[in-house]
Amino acid sequence: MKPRTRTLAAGVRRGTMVVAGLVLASAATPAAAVESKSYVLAYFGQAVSSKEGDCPGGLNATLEAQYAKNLQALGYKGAEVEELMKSFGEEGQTWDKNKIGQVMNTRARVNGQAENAYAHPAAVADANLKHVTGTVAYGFNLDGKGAGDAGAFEDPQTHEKGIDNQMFRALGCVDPFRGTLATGTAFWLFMWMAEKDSMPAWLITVEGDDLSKDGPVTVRMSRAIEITKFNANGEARADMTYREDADPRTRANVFKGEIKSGTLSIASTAPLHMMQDQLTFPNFDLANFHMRLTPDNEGRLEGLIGGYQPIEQIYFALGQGGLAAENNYSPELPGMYHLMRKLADGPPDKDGKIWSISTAYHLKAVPAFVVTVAGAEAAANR
Amino acid sequence: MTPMKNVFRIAAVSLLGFGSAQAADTMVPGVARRLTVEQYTRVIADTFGPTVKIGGRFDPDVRVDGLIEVGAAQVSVSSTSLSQYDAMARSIAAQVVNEDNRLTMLPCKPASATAPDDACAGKFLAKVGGSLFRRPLTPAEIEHQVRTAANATETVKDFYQGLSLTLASMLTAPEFLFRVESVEADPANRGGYRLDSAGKATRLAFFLWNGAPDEELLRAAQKSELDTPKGLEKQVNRMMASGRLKDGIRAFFDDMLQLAGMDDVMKDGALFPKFSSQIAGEAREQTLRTIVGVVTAPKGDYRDIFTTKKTFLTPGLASIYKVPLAFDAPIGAPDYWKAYEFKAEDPRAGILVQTSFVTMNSHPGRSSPTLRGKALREVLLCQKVPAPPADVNFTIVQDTSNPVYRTARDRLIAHRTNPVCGGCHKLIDPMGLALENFDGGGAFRTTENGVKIDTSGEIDGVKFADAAGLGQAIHDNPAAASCLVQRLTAYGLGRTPKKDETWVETQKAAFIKNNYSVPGLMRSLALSPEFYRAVPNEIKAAFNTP
Repeated sequence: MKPRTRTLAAGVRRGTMVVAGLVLASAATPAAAVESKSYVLAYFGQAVSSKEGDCPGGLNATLEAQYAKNLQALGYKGAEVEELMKSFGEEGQTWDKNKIGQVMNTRARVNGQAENAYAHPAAVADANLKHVTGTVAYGFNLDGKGAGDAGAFEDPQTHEKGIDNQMFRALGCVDPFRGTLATGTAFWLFMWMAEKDSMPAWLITVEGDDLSKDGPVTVRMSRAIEITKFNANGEARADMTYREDADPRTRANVFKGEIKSGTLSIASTAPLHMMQDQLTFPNFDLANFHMRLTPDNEGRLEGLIGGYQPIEQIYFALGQGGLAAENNYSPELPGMYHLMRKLADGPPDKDGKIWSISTAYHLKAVPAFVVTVAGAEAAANR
Repeated sequence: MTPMKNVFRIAAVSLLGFGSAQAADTMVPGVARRLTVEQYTRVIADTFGPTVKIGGRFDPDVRVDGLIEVGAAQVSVSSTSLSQYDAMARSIAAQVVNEDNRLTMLPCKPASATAPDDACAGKFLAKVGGSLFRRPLTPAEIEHQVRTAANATETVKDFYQGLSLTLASMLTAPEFLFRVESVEADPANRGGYRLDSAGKATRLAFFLWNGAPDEELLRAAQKSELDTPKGLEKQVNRMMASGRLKDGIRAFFDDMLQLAGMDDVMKDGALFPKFSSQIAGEAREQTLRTIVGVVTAPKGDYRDIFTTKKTFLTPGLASIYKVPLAFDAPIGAPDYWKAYEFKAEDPRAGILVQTSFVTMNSHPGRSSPTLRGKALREVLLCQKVPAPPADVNFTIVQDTSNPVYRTARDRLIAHRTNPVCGGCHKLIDPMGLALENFDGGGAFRTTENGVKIDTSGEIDGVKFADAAGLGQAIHDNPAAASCLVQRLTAYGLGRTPKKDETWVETQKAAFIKNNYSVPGLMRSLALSPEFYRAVPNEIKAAFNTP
């Protein structure tokens, strides 16, 4: 269901906001804002819009079929393949009996030596996995080419053309990475469930002259000391107070944005740098940071952030679980790495190589108070 | 048989029937109040330490005339609940003598672990017996308990198990389960009765501290010092100066405001997602902390609990009140309390708009001006609101999505067209509607179904515009102070004072003169001879005397 919208500042008490805005502005931005409103992250996952038929000939092969192919690519013959595959998926087996696991775990080849495939995905033969060929994806026009960008997507929400979201294209034919904005995907839901009770909360603070009206705003993304607090029904609790982490690594994320028809948006050429969960994104970087968030009638925000993200960060989230992770949700982790490299569209390095890929993440956030560690309540923001 | 007469009989029969025949010979029971759940827990913790766990189900406390403390004087121990008390007693006793605890909880080690040791058993039983029975055990009682322990030890061939069985029997004795305030002839009131020294000590300790008498109070009682005005004043002054006075104040207001009801508050999670059992507990605690903060402050005026901007919050409560509250604590530290003062422009002031009052007096899915108004009248002003007729049609009131009657006020106006309902609703709705800015989950709101909420009202001819005005009106209403005196007196006595007990009116006047000081009133009551007087008719009834 499309969220009902309202002005960003609905329910805000102006008197409080004046004080809050001034205090934060003095700490982080040169311009003195007169109104400020803060939010805490309530959900994070990949923004996806999978559709029937968007993968040519169906989804990628099962892991079992892919492993059989991999064995052949490694030079194993028919009988050997058959023998090794006998141990595939056997319940309760010990490592020494997991013959296929041992071979797959070390199928990378570095200088002719067998190495861990998940630590060296580029050294694993490309499985040539399929990718999305559909035309619809959430995201942003990061390269500025717009409708003239051949092969780019159309955003299903804004119907803007020239949308850059090659991460969705790369991962979208693997079942645990398929879904819609409403359902999320199995992989990212699993990751969110694991990280939401352990990662320091992400904070978003919006400042502007009058947040109930269209106009320019300043948006600050930072990290809290506390973990997001959740209600018994699993939803993030609104109106909790969070202390902003003084760590300088996450205090430089200040962007110019605007509110238009209630929607908060950022289209920046500057990067975002956040730190997230240790097992997902210890570092989370988005070059050309973009944001599009819309408030609902309860004052909660929902929308997207996007930009060019280093492929190694995404691959870490997927591949840090190694063989076990591959057996859980992927037909070929190194193959997904290869796909992202092939579809990478970020800015090239000095050698012309591209190491980042366009992405879009789905965010939800609820109203919160943000205080600086020093000064506590005097610096309260809403 | 009257309830009181029943109690005396139970107490007397119990005293005779639970292995304390020697005590019953010399003791005349006056008022016997069954320990409340909190008091039971506190006495066990005071005696054995906080690590001893209490497992089992207590009989529900009964509220009479607005107070559990009055109800406690009118309840007995049923056979069903006795089996529960027995199970709890055995569990507690087993924990006390188990291998982990015996070294610290027992004052001695027996000569043999398989044979009786009267000296060691006597030392232990005399010590814990005094604490459990709230008075020193007589030599005959100690001898009786030691003999019981020895017999049990010989039977089970285990000193600790024998001691455990004896301790368990003490924990089911009426002297423990009931606060027996024994009486004696009153020399100043010919033909009348008053509490004896032990009875006074028990009444004082539970009234001022909500706990058992300490050693000093027991000593004073033993020396009959409580029978002299000077001796009584000395002990009362000592107890008033103790930090435990706050425990007594908390217990009284918890009872008067019926805050135990927070344990039963359930909310629709879809409508009020912030509300939880944890929040319910914190809301109860918030109100108690607010009240204690107000009434124990220098020149603390009881009436200010209805208007104060000062309170204490946890992070969870702060989220309901939508105010910032940051702690300087490491990640993962448990939530704790912080003093907080609402800003002048904040609509929150006084206990009436705190989460406890507005959620407890609401329905699971909606607010209730009627329940809130009724609670204001009955709990805070000591006025009686008649129960609704059995055949009332609540359809309109419950229909919160009614397209015509979009606010609670609209629905109640429509409901009041029924003349059977109108009388009572006119009495309670104007007060309850003033709190409609606070929904059933305690959150502030200005509209209902898109319509601005009208919070104006009046009480006893005094008009107000909103909840803050209601708080001020209650603050200024003479019935609020009068009700407090009435409730606190009944709380101490274990019965509602009769209309002809004019000394209560004297207490009311003194309370007002003393700037509505709650500790001052407690002191005044504790020093009043009437506070220890037993009502002659009830004493006669208890002993079946004509």
